[in-house]
Amino acid sequence: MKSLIERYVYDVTRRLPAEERAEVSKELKSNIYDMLPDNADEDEVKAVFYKLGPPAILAERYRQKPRYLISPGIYDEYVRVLKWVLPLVGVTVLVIGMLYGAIDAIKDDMVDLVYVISNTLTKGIAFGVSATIQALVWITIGFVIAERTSTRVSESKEQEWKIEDLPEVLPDDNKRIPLSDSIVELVVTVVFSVVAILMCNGKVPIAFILQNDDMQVRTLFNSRFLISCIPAIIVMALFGISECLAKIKDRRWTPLVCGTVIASSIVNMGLILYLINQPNLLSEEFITFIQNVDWSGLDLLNSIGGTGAITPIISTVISVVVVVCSLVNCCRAVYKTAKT
Amino acid sequence: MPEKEQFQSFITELRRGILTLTVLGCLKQSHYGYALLQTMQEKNIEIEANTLYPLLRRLESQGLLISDWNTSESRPRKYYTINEKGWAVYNELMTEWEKMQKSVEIICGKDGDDEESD
Repeated sequence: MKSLIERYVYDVTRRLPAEERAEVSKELKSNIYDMLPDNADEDEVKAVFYKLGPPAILAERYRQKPRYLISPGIYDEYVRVLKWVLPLVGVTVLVIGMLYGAIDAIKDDMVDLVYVISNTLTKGIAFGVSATIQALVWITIGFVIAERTSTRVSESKEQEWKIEDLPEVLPDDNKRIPLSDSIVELVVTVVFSVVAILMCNGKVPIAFILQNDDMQVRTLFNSRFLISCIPAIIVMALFGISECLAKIKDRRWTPLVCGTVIASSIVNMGLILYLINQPNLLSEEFITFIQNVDWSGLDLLNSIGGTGAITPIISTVISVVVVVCSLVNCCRAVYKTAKT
Repeated sequence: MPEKEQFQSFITELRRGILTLTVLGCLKQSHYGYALLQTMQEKNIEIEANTLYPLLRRLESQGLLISDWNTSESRPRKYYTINEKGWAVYNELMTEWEKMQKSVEIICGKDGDDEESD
């Protein structure tokens, strides 16, 4: 019964400006308890709520300054929509723009890879940024219109209001996983995996450029190594996706979410460690390139065994970073789950 | 039914204007929210809890009331009392109310239909 009162009061105060919440909450609770008989049962509590009316209307009346472009009453929703839509639109249109840029460059018969890459990136970013701004503007205009016409909306809501409409749980921001974060994570995981698979497939080149005498494009990684990466990327993507889906389903740090996060981190760690320590990681061309570079400036490198040591050093550094990141991620998940 | 609703909205409109006056009048003695609601209802001023509580907060933020949390009882209660500025507003509203009452009597009394008011 106490939690029912908490829920009602929360549903009112969450629509108020932050600085007023604590005081209104305290006062409203005190008033509700005054309106209840001693040892009131649930029906009596509900009767008091129906007397006080829908939380949205009560909040509207408590609001001291009703003149907002977007009022606290719908601000939550506004931010939630932005968090959903902007990354989605931004990333989608970025990818479309990049494809468009690439096709455009190829159509122009420009075999020059530098031009293709720069055109792809410019088009992608330009499209992505302008689409994001467009989305922001139109969503804001939509909400401003909703704000201006909201009195009629709240009047019609008045009859339909039910106790069951009260939010189920009092969200504690530390324990909650915001829905928008999980969705963004999901989108990023999918897009990143698709791009990575395309790269490994040879569809999108990972290149480095030699500028000794004339410009040449060479691949950075051994192509057989890249092909062997594809199953690993698919496995990592599947674990990543199931982690996001668990977060979207539970929306807080439950054992299930914790388990998927740990599984995904450990699988990622294992696969990356395995891949990075492959002997045939880099392409012949890149190794030759490295060996031809004048390293005389780097005494340190010479002292630890010359250019031959460069691949193991890079692998070790990356391995350490991956292990540390994964372990931190696992500990964070366990800590947050334990706290919930 | 719509006619009854319309009638009700006229009455609500008429009452709304005097709510501030009656609330200020009641708060010559300090009250907490629910006690004030009861006092007003006993005196046949029909006001809903969801109108009164926000109204108290608004009057306080407008500087007409002072409030004080009383924590000596079993539960903390916020007591409101009229202050100096509140008194000034109350007196002006009261003068205006008396003028309006007279005007209404003059205008509506002339009709002669309304015998019940004297």
